[in-house]
Amino acid sequence: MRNYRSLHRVIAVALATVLAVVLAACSGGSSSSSATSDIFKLGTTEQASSLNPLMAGNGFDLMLWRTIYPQLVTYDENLEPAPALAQSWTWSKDKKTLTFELADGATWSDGEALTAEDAAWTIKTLLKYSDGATATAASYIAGVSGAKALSDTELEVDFSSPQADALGNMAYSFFILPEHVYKKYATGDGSKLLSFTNQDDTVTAGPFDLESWSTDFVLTSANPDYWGTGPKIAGYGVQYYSSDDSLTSALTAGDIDGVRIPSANVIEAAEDDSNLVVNTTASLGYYTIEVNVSDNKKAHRELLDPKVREAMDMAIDRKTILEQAFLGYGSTGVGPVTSASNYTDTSLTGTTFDIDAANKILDDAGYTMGSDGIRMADGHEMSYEFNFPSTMRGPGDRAFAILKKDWAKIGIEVTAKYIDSAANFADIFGTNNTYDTFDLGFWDWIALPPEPGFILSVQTCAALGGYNDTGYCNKKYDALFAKQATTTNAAARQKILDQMQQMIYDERGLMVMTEAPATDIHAQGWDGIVLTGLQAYELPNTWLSIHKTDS
Amino acid sequence: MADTTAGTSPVKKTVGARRVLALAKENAGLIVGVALLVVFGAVALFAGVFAPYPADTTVGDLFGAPSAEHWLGLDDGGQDVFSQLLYGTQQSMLIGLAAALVSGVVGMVVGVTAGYFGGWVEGVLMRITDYVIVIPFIPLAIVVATIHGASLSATILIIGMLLWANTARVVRAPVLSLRHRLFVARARGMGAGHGRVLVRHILPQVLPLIISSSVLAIATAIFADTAMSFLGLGIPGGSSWGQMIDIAFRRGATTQGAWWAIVPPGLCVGVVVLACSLVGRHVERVLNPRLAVSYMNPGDFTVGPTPEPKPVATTGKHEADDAVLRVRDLDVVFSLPAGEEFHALHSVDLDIRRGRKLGIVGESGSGKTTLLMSLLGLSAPNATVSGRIELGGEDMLAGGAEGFRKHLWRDIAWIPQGAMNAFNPVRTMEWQLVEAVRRAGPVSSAEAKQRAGDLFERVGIPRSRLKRYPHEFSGGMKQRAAIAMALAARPTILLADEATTALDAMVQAQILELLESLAEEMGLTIVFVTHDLGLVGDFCDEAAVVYQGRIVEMGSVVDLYHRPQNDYTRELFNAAAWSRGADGSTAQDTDQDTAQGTAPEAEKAVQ
Amino acid sequence: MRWGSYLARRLLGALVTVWVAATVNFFLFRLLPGDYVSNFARVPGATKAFQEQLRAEFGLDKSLGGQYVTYLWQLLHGNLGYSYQYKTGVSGKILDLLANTVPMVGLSTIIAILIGTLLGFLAAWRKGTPTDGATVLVALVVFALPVQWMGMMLVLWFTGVLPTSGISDPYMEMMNPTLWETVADYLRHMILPSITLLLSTAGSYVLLVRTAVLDTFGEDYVLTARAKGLSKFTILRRHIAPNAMLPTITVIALTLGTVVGGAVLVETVFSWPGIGWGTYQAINNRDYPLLQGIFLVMTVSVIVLNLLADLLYFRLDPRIRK
Repeated sequence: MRNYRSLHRVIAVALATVLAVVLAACSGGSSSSSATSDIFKLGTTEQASSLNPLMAGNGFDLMLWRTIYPQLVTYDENLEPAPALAQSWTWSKDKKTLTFELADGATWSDGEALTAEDAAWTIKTLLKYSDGATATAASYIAGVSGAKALSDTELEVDFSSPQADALGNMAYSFFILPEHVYKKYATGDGSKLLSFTNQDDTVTAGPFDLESWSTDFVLTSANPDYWGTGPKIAGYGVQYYSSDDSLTSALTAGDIDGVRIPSANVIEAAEDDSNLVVNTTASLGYYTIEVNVSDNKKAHRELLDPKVREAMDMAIDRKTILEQAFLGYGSTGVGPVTSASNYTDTSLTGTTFDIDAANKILDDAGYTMGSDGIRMADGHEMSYEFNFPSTMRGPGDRAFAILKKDWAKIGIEVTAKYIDSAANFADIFGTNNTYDTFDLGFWDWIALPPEPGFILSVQTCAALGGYNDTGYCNKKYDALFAKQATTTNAAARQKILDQMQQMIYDERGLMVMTEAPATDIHAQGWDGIVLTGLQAYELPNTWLSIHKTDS
Repeated sequence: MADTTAGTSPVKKTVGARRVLALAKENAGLIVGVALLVVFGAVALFAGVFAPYPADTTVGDLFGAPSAEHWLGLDDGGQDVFSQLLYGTQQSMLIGLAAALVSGVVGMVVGVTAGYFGGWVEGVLMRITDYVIVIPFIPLAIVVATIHGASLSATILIIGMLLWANTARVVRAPVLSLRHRLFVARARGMGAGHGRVLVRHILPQVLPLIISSSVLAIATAIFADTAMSFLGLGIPGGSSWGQMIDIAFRRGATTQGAWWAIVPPGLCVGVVVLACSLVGRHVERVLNPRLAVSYMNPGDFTVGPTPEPKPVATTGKHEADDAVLRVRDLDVVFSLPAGEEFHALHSVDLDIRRGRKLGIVGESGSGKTTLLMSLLGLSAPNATVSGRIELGGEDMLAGGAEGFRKHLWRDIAWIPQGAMNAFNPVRTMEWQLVEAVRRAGPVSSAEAKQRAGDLFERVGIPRSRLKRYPHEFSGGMKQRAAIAMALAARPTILLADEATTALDAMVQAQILELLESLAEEMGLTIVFVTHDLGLVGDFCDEAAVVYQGRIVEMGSVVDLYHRPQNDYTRELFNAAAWSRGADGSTAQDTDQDTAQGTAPEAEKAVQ
Repeated sequence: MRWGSYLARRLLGALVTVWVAATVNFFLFRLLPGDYVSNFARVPGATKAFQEQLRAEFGLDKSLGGQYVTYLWQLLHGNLGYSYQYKTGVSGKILDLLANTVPMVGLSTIIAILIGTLLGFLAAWRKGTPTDGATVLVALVVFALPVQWMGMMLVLWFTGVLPTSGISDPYMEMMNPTLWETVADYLRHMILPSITLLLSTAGSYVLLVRTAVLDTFGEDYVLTARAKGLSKFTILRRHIAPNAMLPTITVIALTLGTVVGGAVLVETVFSWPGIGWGTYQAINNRDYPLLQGIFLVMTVSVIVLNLLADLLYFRLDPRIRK
């Protein structure tokens, strides 16, 4: 070949590369050098999505935003509202005016002063575009009708009606925007506010400064100019892993110090590792089976029969599912407001697993067993396609196997249909959001914010075609929902909340299987992590108190 | 230079175990592959019978280690891995076979339709095929599985619909050529419709191809299922090997060290894919016999015992004093695959005399090519060659192939049949001549090129054509070039192998003239191997007649023509007189059908 | 055929295929259920107006035909749209992803080709011997094992020894590393994914080269070379190699296109943030524009490599140039 010489060159380059790789492999290179030892390294299986708090951020985003953007209030370890930039607040008698006293001398990372003016501007802007661009962010200040800065450190917020969840929702996801940055986008229909990525020269004002940001890796450093008591670590980094497996490898290899919302597999592996500390408690998340209860449903209308759903519920072996699918982490579930919530209805005890009783209910209701072991309803077999969202893969596969077997014992056949989240919503909603086709399926939820308003709103008529995953629409429930929102007396409100939870339970459109655990996994040598129903690292307090133990 | 033979009488048969063993060894890949597929097929059919535990049932601890009760341990659901593996076999084999069937049928229909009808139908179908082939498989599988939702039938369809393009491509080419074949035309002429022709004549011909590509499709399909499962697009609640790997991975088998949940399904995929590859490769070998032909092996032949020189008296032939190349008691025996033997040459004695032109004649399969190859030391590796081949008194055969090599081109040069592919197609003529020139000893590049040019001019090709490639030469020109190349290292003996066959009469005459003048000018000895007796008569001084591996008669051309001693010689000469037409062309030139017949096969067999 | 007209014809053919690919691409992705906006707008307090606003922003309010025309027009300007997921231009994102994939895939492919060529020649050269048998068997076996499975096995064995995920240590930068340390870290992360990819491709290259070489062994010009008295090694080098490399180059060029697609599995196992991993993330996030872009880039790369193989063949094989 005439180009032998060039071939030789290619070989030489290739050999050199191989040599380089071998050398690199041998040269080691440990990441735990002293320069980064004061950085807490967190691993996650969720990707960051945005730096603009006007967007609907995911859990990762919210965790980050709460430590780099200023909030009026935050949560304490009981998930009750606690001071942040606002040092204190007072309600007016009619519960329609809230006055915040802000910390003095707060500044943005670009040196501009952070004042009540910024907060007032943010609230006014959210309200101005609440039908469009800022709808998401505005939902966390629901009921607010206006705001004004009384001075640099005094902020007055006005409500159209008393709001029970006002402070809790603000603590969850209300971030004060730097007016001098966002002002130029707040024009026209406000859509520029949403397309603004805020990725370059991000202006922040939290306990941490943003060092670098990408969807797969975020690095922060302690903010030296923070107005309050700053963090005890030099900073923290969050790295994305695309599988539990790679996350666990990194964890056991010591590449990361902690894991954000670990799955059962990761917890199990961490338990076996003496270098790791594992703590678990109840969380606000749950795994559920949901059944379409909408009257618009065309086929398989027997699923609208409460007796059928009751039998199904009784044939869910929650204990085995918890033990096998979720490796025993978490607890058996009852309703969407989980045991970790301050608002859970403690009188509900859940359904007892009883195949015989379930069979009796179905027999009595006249669903006769076919020759192939599948019951008949209106001349067709009780055999259903079962929506299996991709987020449930792994534990869900095992849970489904258990469910399928037990339901087969009561003459109900289910066949899994893998579907991803977006497609699952579209599938549930059916034609023009009429819920005409969906039968049943799995889903996983995290009831956030911790205030019960959001998770209970899911079952309202207003949420049809939005978040409502069962097609449930009940005027009485909706009225209760509206009432609880404005009931500021805690005991009175809890009564209403209990009533609503009872209704959801009795309807059995949502059959909660298990509650997910809240878990703190961290390497030996770290301390100060605050584990709540909101998980370990989602709470800003964790990032202020986390520190190295002296050894 | 085939290692196999279709020879009849001289084949010595061995029977019994040895033959079976030899056959088994020859087809080991096929046997192992088919056996493995049969085993897996049986497991798939009778999974329920073999499995020690029922499907999808918890029988122990999650990720319990292998034990006496659970040979391959337990999986993440506390299920017996060995049992699950058997049930997995059922689903994986089903996916593999069904997808292969889909791709085989679609590929066959498209390929046969395109090849048979041609024209715009072919154009459209092949464009589609081209496009399907460039589609990146995995991303498309993701999209389609997301649209359709994953299920057994969707998986099979997706995989099948992405695999057919290969089969279509493979099938089209032979159908295209079959279409032009006589028998299809004839069948059409006799009023058979397209359907009948396709089913009766075309399909049987391409079926082996379809089967082999379908067997490989099984492997690809099982592969594809593991890939799709891994990406979360497998069959919901499915139990295929791919699903097992996927679930084990998702459930942390690797991080918990539960290798038993992940290694066995992976190995099963490996073994089935391997089995399919083995079968596929065997079919490929059968369909593409070219792979069995190798000119690199010749020379690796076995040298038999050198017989004692026989006293002159017993041979009954006179010793020629001026023999440059002397062959004594040359025996060539080919050992054949199934333990059989084929005796190709029997005690050949031959004297090639200086400056003479000797013709070696015989019909196809007589052994003349075997003789020629043994003179070059290039007998096939399954040949045992014994006797003596002396060049200037030195027995080259005693040194094996190496004994010949140092004399090749310098003393003995070979003129290949130029019309054939005797030149390296991707090198210029100059490059190939320079290589030949340098066989005589190291010379500078310029000098070698100069000499190559001289040689070209000597054989009547303009020097300027040196820079051209072989395919740019006509048959006659190539033959001249072949002669020029043969002369490059100044040999004394030229072995011309059917050097003028397949050339038209005019060119043939010119080539012979050229050879004649060269022989005179350089004092060359020429051995002319041919089946064309007329040529021998015109050109040679002497001739040897080869028949069934023996030289039945040798002598001057005049003697042979007028006083043949041997019956076969007489017959041969009569036949030649009969078939030699008025225009002087030979039998082979005029009757192409005969050329396609049995003779060349026999020839090939003993090459 | 002349080089110019050959080139023109091939280019035209490739362009048509690219257009077909782009069109199929466009419509294929519109078939996916659940559009991004309905997912994206599913937030507390989302109103119809907000959804409409988002649709308009992403151009989803136009008719399908209108969207198609816009799509082609943008494509001509190298604009592949705007990634929902990353909120940045698709073209830029794909370039970022490719920048991660190419070195890893490139390194393993080069080594795979070298190994494949060497062992392929060796096996053919020693045809029928135990060397040949062992080489073919090993090649068949690594070819037969699922690539993601081999990856998992490597993770199983090398956890704690070599990095099993990611492209680099993200905290590296804070240690003010030298250039060599940065490169070494990058290469260390590259080892396992490239070895996995290498294993999955080298086997088929070995078999491919072996067959191509054996095919050449039966050619008449090899017999000519033998008769010339050249040594076997000389023949292998001077006559067989250049001829056997012709089909090999073509097939390798063809498989290169699929290597990028096949990297999906390897990149997913090792969380290597390249184009394959990006594909997987994009499908999970319903990022149509990005998916569409990646799919187009993958298809076009196969078409381009096909074209390159043809052109290379044209340059290398004098028989085509008439």
